[in-house]
Amino acid sequence: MILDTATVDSDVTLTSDVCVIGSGAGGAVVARELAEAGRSVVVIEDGPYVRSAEFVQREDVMYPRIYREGGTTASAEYTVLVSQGRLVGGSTVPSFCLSIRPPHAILAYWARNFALPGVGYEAIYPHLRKVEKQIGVRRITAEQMNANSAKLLLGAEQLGYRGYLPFHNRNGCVDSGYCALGCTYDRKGDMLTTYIPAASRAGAVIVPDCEARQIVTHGGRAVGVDGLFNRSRTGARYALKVRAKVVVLAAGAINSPRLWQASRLPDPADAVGRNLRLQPNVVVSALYPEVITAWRGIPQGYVVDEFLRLDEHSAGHGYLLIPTFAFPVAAASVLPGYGEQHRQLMELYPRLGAIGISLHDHSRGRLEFSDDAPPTVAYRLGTMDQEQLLDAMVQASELSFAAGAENVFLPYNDIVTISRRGAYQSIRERGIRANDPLFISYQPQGTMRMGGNPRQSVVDAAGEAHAIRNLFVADASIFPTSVAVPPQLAVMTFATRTAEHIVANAAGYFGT
Amino acid sequence: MRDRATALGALQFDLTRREMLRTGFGGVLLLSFGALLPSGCARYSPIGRPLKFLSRKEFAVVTRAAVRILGLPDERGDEIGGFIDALLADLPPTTQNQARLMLRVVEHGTHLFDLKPRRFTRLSPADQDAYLRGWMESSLGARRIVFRALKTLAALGYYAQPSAWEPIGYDGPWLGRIEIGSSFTHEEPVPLAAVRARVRNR
Repeated sequence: MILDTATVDSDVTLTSDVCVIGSGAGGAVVARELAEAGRSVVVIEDGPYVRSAEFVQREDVMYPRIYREGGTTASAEYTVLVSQGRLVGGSTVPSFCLSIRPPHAILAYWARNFALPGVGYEAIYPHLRKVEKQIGVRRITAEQMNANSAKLLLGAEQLGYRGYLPFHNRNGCVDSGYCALGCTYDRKGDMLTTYIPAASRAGAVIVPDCEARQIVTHGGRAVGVDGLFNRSRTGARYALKVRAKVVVLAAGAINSPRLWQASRLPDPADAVGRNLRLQPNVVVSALYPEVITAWRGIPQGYVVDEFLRLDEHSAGHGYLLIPTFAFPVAAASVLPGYGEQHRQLMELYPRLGAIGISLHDHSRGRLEFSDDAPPTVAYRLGTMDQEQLLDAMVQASELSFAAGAENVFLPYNDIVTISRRGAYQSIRERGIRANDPLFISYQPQGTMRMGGNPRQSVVDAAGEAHAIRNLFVADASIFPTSVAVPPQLAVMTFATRTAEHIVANAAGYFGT
Repeated sequence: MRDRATALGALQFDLTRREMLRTGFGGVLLLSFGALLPSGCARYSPIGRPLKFLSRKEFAVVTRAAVRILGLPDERGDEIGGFIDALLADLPPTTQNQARLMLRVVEHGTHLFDLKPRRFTRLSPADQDAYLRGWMESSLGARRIVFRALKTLAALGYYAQPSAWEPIGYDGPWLGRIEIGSSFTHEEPVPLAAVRARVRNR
């Protein structure tokens, strides 16, 4: 069941076997798996419970409603903007639904270099398949590609670049294109329509509009969570206390370490909040001679992975090129230019397409904590990542021209137009500086990395904290490096694995 | 250019974070500068609509900046300003304070950055453009951040409105125009008493 927090009129104490913090790709999965295994589960979600009838397809309404309060967490010099959903279902609800499996090579690298023998591809495959079935993963068909995706496919074919029709978790998509504002038509296999209702049917209690403030420990063991309701019948912020035998932290790679730190939990490896990877995204726009109406249809219907180079002996390097687009407010904010130039560019909106660059970054950022505010992200692109990004902007431009673009617009503040194929010197000339171009991260990772060595990591291969018993982490915080692809499927897979570990060792955790 | 590029960007990216201007030496300077600036509205024209959040001064700054940055006719300014005022009124106090500070810095930054005797809203349109471009192209990261914030606010104030869609060829939301149902039934939330009962009965 899902609590109507408008009825809360006093402090509340609940007891359960398990308390899960966060209801996104990690938390929802753990909640369902444990509830279906017969455990009593309470899920605390900072954001509201928003049903699809409220997804009104308006940017001005939906952005403040379903994305994290306080906005994106921008890095200290605004080099990267971090974007996260904030509602029941987390970032899976406004996601673009790419369901790409974690690469073999990355998992092998993790297993070998972080003393994690149980995280290889074969080991996690059963969990992966289970997740894929639950959220309805299937391959996007060529017929489902929108015109913007078809441009990327055409460009890749012209240039002989490797690419593929990706898998996604949609069923019966109607091609409205409003994925990033929440699907009005419930055609996504997001947490809101899959794992959360299943967890609820199995007895889990979902508490939306409640901020987890502290993980409570006793004798080196997690015993509950203290929170504050963001909403109530009277308007007051009442307290929620959940007393539980197991606590699962799944608030994402920014907020999970923040809560760890706010709870004054031990960090003997000095690793909480460090090792931040952001998989930064940069967008290169292109003007085509014909109308392509890129805001309609499945936004990301093709992936070029020609430049993602992975091997199990290193973390690999490179980037994915993925079609992307935005509705008018977001487009106007991101498109370069000033004044009349900007307005004229916006008037070309129906003829614009765009390619997103998703960088498999090696740069390591960190979170800087303070008592009275969300953490500050300290992140700078290292030299190698800068080189990769410049190369990616060249390749995205090349692909656009190969697909017939008349002009390419680089993602700088002012308009930098490339008007002919091969004239890419302006990319190197402009280079990269703070906040120009703007990078956006939808996939922060790595801030509480897993590993076999407690002196170098925060959690073990099952996601259990080395330093606190009965405390697990089930989100992208645990990834030792960037997972190189959109991480939704990887997060859900590891969360499934964590839940199964808890079930298999129930006697130790619950005493029964 | 994903939607989420400004999902948070639109309202919060550049505005909400206390770090906005706390970005190195330049940011500290800007922040200090902003704190010293006057906030009074005595010299600003009355506005023909009630404001929920912005002062007359802030309204004047944001409307001028919006029409210049987006290349729009001056007469669209009041409409955009009204929309931004309503949006800001619903944001958290930290965001609102940051927005106020930013607008104050932009209004009086003419003295600091361009050594002009007049504040931003009193400059000619051409000088306003030159001044705002100075923020956009600045070598100081904190100034570029402020420009991004202004541009984002402007984009939200104008392009979120249906009247802006036809000129750019955007056909608008399907909802209410194209009837597509959903067979999924979302669970109704339950009162606290029901939750207590479930927990008790375990």
